[in-house]
Amino acid sequence: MMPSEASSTEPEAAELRARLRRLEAELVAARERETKLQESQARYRILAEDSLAGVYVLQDHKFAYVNKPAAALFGAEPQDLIGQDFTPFMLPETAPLVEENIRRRLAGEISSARYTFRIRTVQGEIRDIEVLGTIATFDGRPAIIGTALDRTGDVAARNALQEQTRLLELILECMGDGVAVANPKGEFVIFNPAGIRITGVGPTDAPPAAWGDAYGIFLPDRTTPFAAGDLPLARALRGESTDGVDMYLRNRSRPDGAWLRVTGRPLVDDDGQMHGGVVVFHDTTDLRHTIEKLERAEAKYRALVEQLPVITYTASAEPMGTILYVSPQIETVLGVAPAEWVANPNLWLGHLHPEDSDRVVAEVRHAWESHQRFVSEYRMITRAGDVVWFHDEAVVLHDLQGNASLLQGVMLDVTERETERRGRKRLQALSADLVAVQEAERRRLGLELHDDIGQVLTGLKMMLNAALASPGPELLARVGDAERLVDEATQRVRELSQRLRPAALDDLGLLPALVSHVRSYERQTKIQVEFEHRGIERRRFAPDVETAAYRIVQEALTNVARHAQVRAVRVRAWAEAGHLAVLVEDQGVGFDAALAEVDGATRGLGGLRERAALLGGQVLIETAPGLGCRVHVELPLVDFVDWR
Amino acid sequence: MMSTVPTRPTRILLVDDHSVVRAGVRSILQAQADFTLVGEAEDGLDAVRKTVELKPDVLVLDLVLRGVQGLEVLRQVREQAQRTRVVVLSMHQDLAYVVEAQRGGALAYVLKAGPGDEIVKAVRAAMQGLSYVSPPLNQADIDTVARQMEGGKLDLYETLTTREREVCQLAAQGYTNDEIGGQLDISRRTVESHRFRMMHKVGLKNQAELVQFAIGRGVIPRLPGTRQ
Repeated sequence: MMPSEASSTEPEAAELRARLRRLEAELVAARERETKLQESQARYRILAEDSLAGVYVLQDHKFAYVNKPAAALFGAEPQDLIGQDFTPFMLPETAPLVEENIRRRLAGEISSARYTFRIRTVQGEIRDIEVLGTIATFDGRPAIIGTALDRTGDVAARNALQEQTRLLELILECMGDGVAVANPKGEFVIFNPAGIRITGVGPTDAPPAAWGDAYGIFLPDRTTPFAAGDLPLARALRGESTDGVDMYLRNRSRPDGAWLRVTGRPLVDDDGQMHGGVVVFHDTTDLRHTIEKLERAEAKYRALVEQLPVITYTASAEPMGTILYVSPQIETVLGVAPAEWVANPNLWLGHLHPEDSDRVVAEVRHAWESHQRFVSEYRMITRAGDVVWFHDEAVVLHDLQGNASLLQGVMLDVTERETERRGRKRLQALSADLVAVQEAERRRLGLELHDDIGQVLTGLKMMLNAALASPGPELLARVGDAERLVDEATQRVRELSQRLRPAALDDLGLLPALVSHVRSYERQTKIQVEFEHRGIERRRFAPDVETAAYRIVQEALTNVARHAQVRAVRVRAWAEAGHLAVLVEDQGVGFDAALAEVDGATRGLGGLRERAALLGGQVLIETAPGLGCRVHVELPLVDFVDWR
Repeated sequence: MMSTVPTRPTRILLVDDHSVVRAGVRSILQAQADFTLVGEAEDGLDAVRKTVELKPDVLVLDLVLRGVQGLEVLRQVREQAQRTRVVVLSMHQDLAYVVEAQRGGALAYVLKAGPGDEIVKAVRAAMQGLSYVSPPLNQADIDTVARQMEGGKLDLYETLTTREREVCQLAAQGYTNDEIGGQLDISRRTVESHRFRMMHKVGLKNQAELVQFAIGRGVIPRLPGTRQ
């Protein structure tokens, strides 16, 4: 186009030159600009490439440019993304938001936008991306240029926190325990539904000092108001912890009252900053009623167990005699306190009567092993050494495996019944014996009267008849004969009556009767009696006791004369506190005590035992073949009257 | 009869619950010129009353009476009529009766079964303040029996059972109840019981007294620590 303009005139030529210079200057300027722009572009490019933040340019729904960190957000390299449609990376729920934000910026409604959306990486991972994008021109055309940051962690954390908070609220909502939280100023910030239900009041605007009145809180005595300063939440606000404080609450909403157990904690963060206090409380009313009921039942049960006239116990047979519980009545009966029984498993065995011990242990073991009911009667020795009869019944309790684990039983003191029964049995046996002995004695007496005295009297009668018919001088002689016969009859009658019942025993007492008996015994048997006594002279005892003591000595001496084959025997009689004792001891042949028990009657010892037993006395016979015999009898002096 | 010296007759009160016996005795006594029977009684109560009232020189007393016994009559007469001498008339040959009668203050003891003149001899002896017993009784036997009936000196150790003696010996040697139980093969409780009774019987209060008692009795050797 220039050559057509150069063919004109000179002034035209000058103007043309001036236009050329301007054009030249414009070209230079344009070139400079071009250079500068190129430099600037390179500079920005380097900046974008080196940025740690993701930088992106969107144009025509495509990635026009992404730097390395931006590509990394999508799990790719820049060259994989540039020129690609970004829509597929958007999750369906975020795509509309992104489209809308792009549209508004391109339309000039907003210049920039900052928001977070969710993408799916090339690897399929979900990420949250926060972008700050602004409208710009890229390669001369409108584009959106922005930076992108990975916010995935932040969102998760926030979500987690939200979830936690929601959960906590749910828990507080649903839990049965009341929870109340107050800030340091004493204002309630949390008061869960259970708390409202339990207190019947809920959060109050009252200051801590008035909480006691606001809720109607009392000490467990149910009358003394709970000091406001001691309330667990008030203490929590002062930084103190409390555990399981029982309180009684009664207010308009809970007119029947309620029992609360409260635990309080101050709310202090890791830095020691006080944020208030929390109390957790639950309604123990039902529990308390149950406990009270249990306590009443227990008291009733205890009263029953400990006041019944029986001994109750819990024991084990392994080891034998282990006592876990025994009611206090046992001390009254045996003189040994419950604690001693429990402490010493050997005590029970030690107190069993030696003659019953083996049997009872076997019975307990059998019940234990066969799981059967234990029922037994046996004797025990009291601390004072007395004998007590027990009726004992127990059941065997089992553990979960079905093994015998406990004996639960009762012991009844049946001493009186047993003594009476035994006494009655003895009495029956004795009275039967007595009847037999009496009959034998009567028979003997009858014979003696008939044969002896009867004969004498018959002879006397005949003699007197003859005398009547006799002349004078003979008469005197015959009367003299008759008198001798009368003397003889008198002597016989005296002996008979002495044997039946020594008059001295009734008239003079035990000692004179014994002395007389000993003398006539010596005369008749030629066995020398060494008789010593103490405390019985010039003293009368109950007739039964005197008779028994006399007969026992008599029988024992007769026994010595019959069996012992000795020349001497020792007789002792003495009274001591509560007892009259007699002892007959010889150094003779002795006998087997076990056999003598069986045929005791032939030894005269059976009757002796019965006599003693009848008075509640005791007989101790110590003998063995070749070792002599010692018969020791004790008759009680105080109780015999009551006993009958 | 030898009533050469006329003196005041002996006044006698006769007590027996058998009228036949009384009649017999009466006839014997009345045969004596110097005896006067001032009264008779047939029970103990009447006997005491009449003795106090009549103050006889001699009371002829049956030991076995209805109601108050002869020995009790004797005791009351000793208290209320000290000057009256008592002749006991008894069917009992048992020396214990004689001892009791003499202890009761009777001067004479006459057996009913004896010869009739025994009662006369007894009354005369009594009048002279002499004691008299009819044969076959004799004072030596009576004294023997009297001694036997005196307060006994029975050794307390003898009252112990064999078991108690064993426990006594071992306890005196210082063994514990458990050790004694082990040696005698009995339970500790039984030992305790024996030990208690043993101490009680012989009147011992503590271990020191027990050791002393056992040494004195020769139950344990005199020197401690020499037990075999």
